[in-house]
Amino acid sequence: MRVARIVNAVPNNHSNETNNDSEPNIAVNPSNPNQMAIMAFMSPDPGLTNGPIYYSTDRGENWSLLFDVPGNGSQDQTIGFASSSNELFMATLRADTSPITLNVDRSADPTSGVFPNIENPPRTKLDQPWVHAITVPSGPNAGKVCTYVGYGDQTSGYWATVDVCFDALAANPTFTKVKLNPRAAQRDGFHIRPKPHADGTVYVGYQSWQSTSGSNVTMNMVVARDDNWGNNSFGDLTDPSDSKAGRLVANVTIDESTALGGQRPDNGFDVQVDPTNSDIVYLCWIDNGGTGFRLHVRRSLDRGQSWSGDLITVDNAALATMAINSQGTVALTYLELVSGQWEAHFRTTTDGSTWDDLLLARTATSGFIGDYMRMVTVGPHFYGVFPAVNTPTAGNFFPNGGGTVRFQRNNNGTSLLGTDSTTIIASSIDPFFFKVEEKDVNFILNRNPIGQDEVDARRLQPHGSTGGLPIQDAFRVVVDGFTAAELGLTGPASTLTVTSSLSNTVMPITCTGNTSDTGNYGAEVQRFTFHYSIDFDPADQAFNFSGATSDVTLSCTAGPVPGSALLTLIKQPDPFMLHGDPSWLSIDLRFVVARQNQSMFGVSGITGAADAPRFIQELIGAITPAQFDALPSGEDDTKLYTQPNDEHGVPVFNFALAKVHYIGLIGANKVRVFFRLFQAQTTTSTYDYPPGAQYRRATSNPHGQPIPLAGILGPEYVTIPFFAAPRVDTISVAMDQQTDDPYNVQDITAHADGSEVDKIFGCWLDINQPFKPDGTTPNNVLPIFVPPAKDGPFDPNDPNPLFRPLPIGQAIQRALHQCLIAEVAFDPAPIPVGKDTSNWDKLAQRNIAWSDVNSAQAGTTFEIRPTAAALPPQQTPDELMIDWNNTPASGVATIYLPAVEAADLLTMADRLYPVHKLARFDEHTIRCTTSGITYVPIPPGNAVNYAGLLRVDVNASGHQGETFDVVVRQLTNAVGHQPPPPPPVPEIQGRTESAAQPASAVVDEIEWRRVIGAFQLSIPVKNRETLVLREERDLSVLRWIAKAIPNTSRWYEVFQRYLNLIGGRVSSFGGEPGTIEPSPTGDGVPTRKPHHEKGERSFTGKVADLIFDSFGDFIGFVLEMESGERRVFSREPEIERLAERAWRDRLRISVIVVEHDRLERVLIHKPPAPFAP
Amino acid sequence: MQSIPELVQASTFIFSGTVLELQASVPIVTANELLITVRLDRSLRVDPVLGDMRGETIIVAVSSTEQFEVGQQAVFFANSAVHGRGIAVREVAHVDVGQADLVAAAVAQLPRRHLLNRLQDATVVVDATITKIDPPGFTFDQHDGLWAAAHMRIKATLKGTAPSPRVFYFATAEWPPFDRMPRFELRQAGIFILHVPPVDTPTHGGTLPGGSLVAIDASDFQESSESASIGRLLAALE
Repeated sequence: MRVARIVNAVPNNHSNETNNDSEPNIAVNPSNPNQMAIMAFMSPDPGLTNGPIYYSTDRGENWSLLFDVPGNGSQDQTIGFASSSNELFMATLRADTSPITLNVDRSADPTSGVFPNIENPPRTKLDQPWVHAITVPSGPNAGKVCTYVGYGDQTSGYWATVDVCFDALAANPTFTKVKLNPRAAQRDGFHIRPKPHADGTVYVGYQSWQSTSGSNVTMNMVVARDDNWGNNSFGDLTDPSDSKAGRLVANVTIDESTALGGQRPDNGFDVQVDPTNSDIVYLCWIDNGGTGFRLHVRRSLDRGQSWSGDLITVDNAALATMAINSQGTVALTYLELVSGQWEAHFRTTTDGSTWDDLLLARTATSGFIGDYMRMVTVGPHFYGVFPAVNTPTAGNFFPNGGGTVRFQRNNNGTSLLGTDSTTIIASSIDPFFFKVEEKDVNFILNRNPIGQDEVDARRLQPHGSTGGLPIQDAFRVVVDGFTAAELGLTGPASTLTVTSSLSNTVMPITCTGNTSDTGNYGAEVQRFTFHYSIDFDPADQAFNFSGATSDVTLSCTAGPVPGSALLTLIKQPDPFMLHGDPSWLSIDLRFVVARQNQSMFGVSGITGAADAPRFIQELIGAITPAQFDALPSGEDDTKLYTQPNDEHGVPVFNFALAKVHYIGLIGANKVRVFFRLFQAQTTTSTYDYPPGAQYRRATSNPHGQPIPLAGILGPEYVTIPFFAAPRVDTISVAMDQQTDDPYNVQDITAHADGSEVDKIFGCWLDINQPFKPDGTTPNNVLPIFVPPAKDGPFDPNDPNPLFRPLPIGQAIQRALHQCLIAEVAFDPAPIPVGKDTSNWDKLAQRNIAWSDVNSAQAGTTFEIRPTAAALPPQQTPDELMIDWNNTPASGVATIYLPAVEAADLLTMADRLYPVHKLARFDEHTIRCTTSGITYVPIPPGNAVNYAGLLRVDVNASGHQGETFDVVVRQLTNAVGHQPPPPPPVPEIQGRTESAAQPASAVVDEIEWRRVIGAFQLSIPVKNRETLVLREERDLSVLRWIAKAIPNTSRWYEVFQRYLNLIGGRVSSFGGEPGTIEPSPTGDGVPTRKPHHEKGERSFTGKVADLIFDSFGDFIGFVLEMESGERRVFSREPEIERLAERAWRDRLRISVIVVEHDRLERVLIHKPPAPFAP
Repeated sequence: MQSIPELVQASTFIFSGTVLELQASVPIVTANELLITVRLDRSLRVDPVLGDMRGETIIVAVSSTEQFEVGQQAVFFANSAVHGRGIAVREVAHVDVGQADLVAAAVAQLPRRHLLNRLQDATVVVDATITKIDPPGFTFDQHDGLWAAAHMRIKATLKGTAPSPRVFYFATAEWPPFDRMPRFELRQAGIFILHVPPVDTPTHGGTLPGGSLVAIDASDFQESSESASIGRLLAALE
């Protein structure tokens, strides 16, 4: 939201003042935008030799006069802050010398009264100095301040000149005088405007007078350029007509004797370069080309080589000035004489063709008001100053609304009053400071809608407990464009109040604190993220509405900026799954890993792969809801295997279970649950059926039921369904021939009292079955790319090898951990398109990647949705919001997106955020530190998701046993249409306010930011010896998968880097990645390292006892040693046989165990020699 | 220690006041131990734009706080540092408050001393009436004073030799430093104190012919009623 403000700069205790403070200039400290300075034609205190300068330390709300300017005032004056040194530079023509003398003054603290001239000896005989200061951001001269003072040198004629200083902070800076015009000319014009860019490009605009006829001057508008901070004498841009330095942009005529509103002509010349792209440069001037004084704005997109025609023209204009903010928005401010009054306009454009128009003021004319005014930017904000007659009538400022105005000096609303608040003071010209700041308040609704079912369920848990009420982190408010002080923030515990259309007793909302983007609460403009929990009263009054849903308006105000969002409450009498807390780790969707012969909940163990469907089918019926809730959720129990056997060679099988709740009296028939696995961690799980892309389904299978199909985006399969029933052979039949009832098509019978009924659904995640149960036939299920027969059957001999079916791992799996989504497909209550797992309770998700570390990098591949290509320019693009949580702030992360140019992404970040932590790592990778919250703008793209790789280099030293949870959310725009209650009018201190509230404060349409998807990367810190074996086997499988990914796939580059990451991890854990071969079973791992390097321990003795569980199954043995007994556990039949023989024969054995006493090997020693007879 | 007239000449903010605090702060000024708070009891030389300052607190940057104690009264000679949310000045010197009347008298003499200086430096002083004004011609010089020629009918020449032609120049430009110079009107009559422009003031070239006489200070015109007084001052200078 754009917030505009005007402040009359004359202090209250100068209320008697009647000077004409014309020709104002402004500087704002980029390091601390609270600090601002304005200079104008101002008289010194009578008798005083130092002239005044206006100064503000509160972002322009209050201005004081500092009597600092040497020279008894000035005859011309410009000022500028360096980018980061806090030094203020002034270039003034002293009012007490003849010939005219230039002072270039510098001060780190203008309030100190110490403002020494640093250009010695001073230049004399010159005109209109224009100073720019910039801090060199990088390279060998990083930190040095370059200053550029453009002026008309009159020592011999009148020639455009720039004094360049490469180290203006030096004790005795050296200034190099550069004459700009290499051509034969009569002389040069009055305006010499240098404009440096942070990449070292420096543009300078000037006018070259060709001829005069009386007072008519024919002149060229010239733009010169230097590509190395001014070291190249501004000779890097030449004109094609003569190959001489300086591009001739236009040839115009100006009658220097005419006047407009008492104002002399030939003003309003300016050059500005886009801070996001030094190729883009704008030029404006005012000539006699129109009916009066015509303002022209032109643009070059190629570093000044070629120029547009007029992007905009304005007749009867004066004092034009431009500025370009960090978002590339161009602002143009000028005065326009309309019906005998000066109108001050502020106009912006993002494309050069469409210009909005904010009328700042409409005031009387009063003779000469100066030859220039100025506007600057800090981040996205514009700050400027214009001269105007100071009659305080409310209608004089923002006559069309759109901003607020403040006079510091006494007045009665129509006339100025003296310091006695009584005497009428004659009007005069004052400098009017204006600021147009981009401030935003955005809601991010992590939980929307909130169902009564969920609230009821949470209420069953102890209040304040995990899973209970209040709902933690239910939403966030992101406030952008403010300083901490403006929001009253002193630290992470500071809060921002959010109200709702429900009373706070019905739905209490609590702000639990905030996160600062920069990690501190200093003077910088930045972005703050506030966190909120939502509670509900025991009487459930929030759900006391008649319909199925009700929208609650959430509102807050940050400074003058209101923000709102709609939170939907639903009475959901349908089957549902709980998101859990957080939503990407649904508490109603679990992974189960079962080893061969491992029984569970009374279901006998799996005898082999062909038996796995039987196991899950029986498990669905056997497990109770309470047992479901008690299923472990830790890494070791839920990390899916990519290999068919575990580290000990035991066949292992992956399953998923889902619990569906039902509360009602009618019951629900044919409640189906579809299970789908995505390729990697994803933020793009938005529901899309019908017609279905990621969520494709067949409307009817041989049993007349809908059945999920493989998801398709673009040319490739992106999701794959899983079933409890055996998967059909997709080489023989199409996938729509799959059935899955009755296991995942169940009827739910209601309880007579309407209390909750829970049903369990499930599937076999056969991602680690590269072979059919015979162990040799490839288990080819799906191609990578989509053939004409999208759902099969797939031809293993298809002429196009990319259309041939592959095992699921090669076809789909693009990470060690994927996103699993369960969908409740209940016909009477379809899922609306556009919903996702975070905001609809018929979608549940497990989206977590584990990446154990010791000294290694953690990481995971992922996919995200591009920002819509046709996003209107004023709309915020999608962003990743990476919450580093407890990750050490000293860590470094990189995000690799091969489809995205890092430079483009950083350009977007520069435009969006006043400050950010992103930096270029390589052409397609950005880097950031792992502290607080990091926002990453997502560049626009087509319908294909971006594949990426997140690497996190955690400084894990001293964190053994801890787990760092990194949460990545994708934010997008959301819109609602319920008008919010009017926000409170902000009270801003001031003696006189004319508060024309911006029209946009009253809105029909509510916009907010919402989370479309999220995933978590958990990084446990473990002993490296425990990690190497599984990591090696994972690498072996991943290398096998990589063999199938064609280089035309969006995953190819990502996967290559992923392999490098995993290889590095193997190496870091003590393995040798170079020796690991691709293998679908993970068996490409070579001989192990020496035992002592793996943390192995050996125990030698004899088997004393064999141990069996209550089912009579062997579970281990007792080893009798000299030092005592030790229990050794294993369910392996071979170990049972071996142990039994060793027990029977009293053989001496050595048992080698590794971490967690896991049995690694058994050595059988030679039987003792019999005693001699 | 400078004399009181010298201190008056070197200071633009002179007042008697009572020390309220030996530590002070003022918005936007970096706090330091040399700032004291003084209540202004009597304005002796204060920019009129500030109005009646009696009773206002002034922050004074002193060279040493050891010279002051709370409740102490003194006459402060100072120059403006900050006018805004509060007034801050930089002390030049201070004297006992008992000398306030002496200081007031010295301040009251400032206009006369200034006029005396103008008369002393003047090339020509005439009692005259402006009969014609020639507006300035066009110039490309944006720092020109846009000098207008004022033709005079001279009634009496009080100092020097009446110029020939009987013309002096005055600035009409609206930009500094000319915006602070006196303007003249047709038929304006009085005492004109005319100078050859000093070389170190920005009254160069452009529309001002070489060797011209100018009136560039507000004191360079005095009403006819001051004729006798001017005569006495001129006599005193001789």
